[in-house]
Amino acid sequence: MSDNPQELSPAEERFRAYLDKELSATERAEFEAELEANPELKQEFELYRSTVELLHQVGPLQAPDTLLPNIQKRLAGRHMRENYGPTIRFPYEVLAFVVLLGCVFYLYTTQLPVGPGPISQKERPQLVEIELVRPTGEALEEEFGLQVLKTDRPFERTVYATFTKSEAQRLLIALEPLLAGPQKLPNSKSRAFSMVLTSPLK
Amino acid sequence: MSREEEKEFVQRLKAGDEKAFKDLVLQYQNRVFSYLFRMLGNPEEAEEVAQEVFIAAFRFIHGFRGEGSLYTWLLRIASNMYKNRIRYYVRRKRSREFSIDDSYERADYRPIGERPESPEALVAGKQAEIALHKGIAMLSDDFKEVLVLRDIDLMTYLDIQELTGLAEGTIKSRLHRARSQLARIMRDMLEGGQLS
Repeated sequence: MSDNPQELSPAEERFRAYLDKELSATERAEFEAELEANPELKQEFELYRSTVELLHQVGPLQAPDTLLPNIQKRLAGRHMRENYGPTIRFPYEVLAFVVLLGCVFYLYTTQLPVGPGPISQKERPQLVEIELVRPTGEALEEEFGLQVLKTDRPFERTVYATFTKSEAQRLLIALEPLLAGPQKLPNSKSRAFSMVLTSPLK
Repeated sequence: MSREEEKEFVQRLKAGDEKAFKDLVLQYQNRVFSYLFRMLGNPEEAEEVAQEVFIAAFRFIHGFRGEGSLYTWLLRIASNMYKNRIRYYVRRKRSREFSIDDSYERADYRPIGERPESPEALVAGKQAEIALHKGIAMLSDDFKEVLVLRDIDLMTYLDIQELTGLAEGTIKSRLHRARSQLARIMRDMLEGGQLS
């Protein structure tokens, strides 16, 4: 349906013009006479007129009572934010940097080959890091390439090394006399030593 | 409010007078809310947008040059906000799900005009109001806006022209089409017993 007023029929246009009192006295009289002569047109016009009258009667609705208080609350909040709001915001850039750094560190420690040690190039399916707080003996240290990290007491030393799983298993068997019975990889609960199973190397 | 009074009132608003702003809301809240409720069909949404309208008025009152009336300026903000909201729904392909029946029933926003005294007249009036509300909701946005502004808000054609930027002929044409469509819709609803 077009908005073009040209497309309104003269009768249609007169409906609106009559109600808006835009017709001259002669035009009004003519239109009223036409309505009397044409019951169908009159019925249509009465429907039109009653709708317009109803619309005029309805008028504006009552706004909810909460409108003004809510506006005032929102304006007060805006004012507080603009004038007294925090000047330091959460440092998202720093957080992102720390997360990135963490990712790099994780990749470095899990994906890159770990330093020199008794790991054969052929066998690198899994690495086991073992920290021992026990007297191990120099022969064992030499055989397995254990690095002595600290020597607190004459018969106790902390050693550290990285092995393949099979090498660690061999070490455990060798250490068995020193430990409280046979140990299992990788979840040994012995107080005397701890081990961490790392991600497999690529 | 005369032109001079309005000018003085606007000066107070521009000076940040909180009392003036409160008066602005109290003076125009019913008409702004009513316009938005008729256009959006949902009272909660109408209240939310009405709040935004007055907050925008508070922020941008310095931009009001006084060429038209303060009310027309407010309603232009309301109209833009309403259209933006509709565009948002269209863009996000979000449907606005609410019941037209419910929205009017729930609304405690009775028309301000006098109410009929007898229960029969009240019921008949209530039915006609609901039919009207539903009928208006069924009109296209273009028709609805002109109808609401002219026949409910009783704005002049000149003010509607200023508000919508439409030519007078277009406004009159849309108004006639809107009235005719609404009349047919209401007749069908009332005759079809859809409101009983």
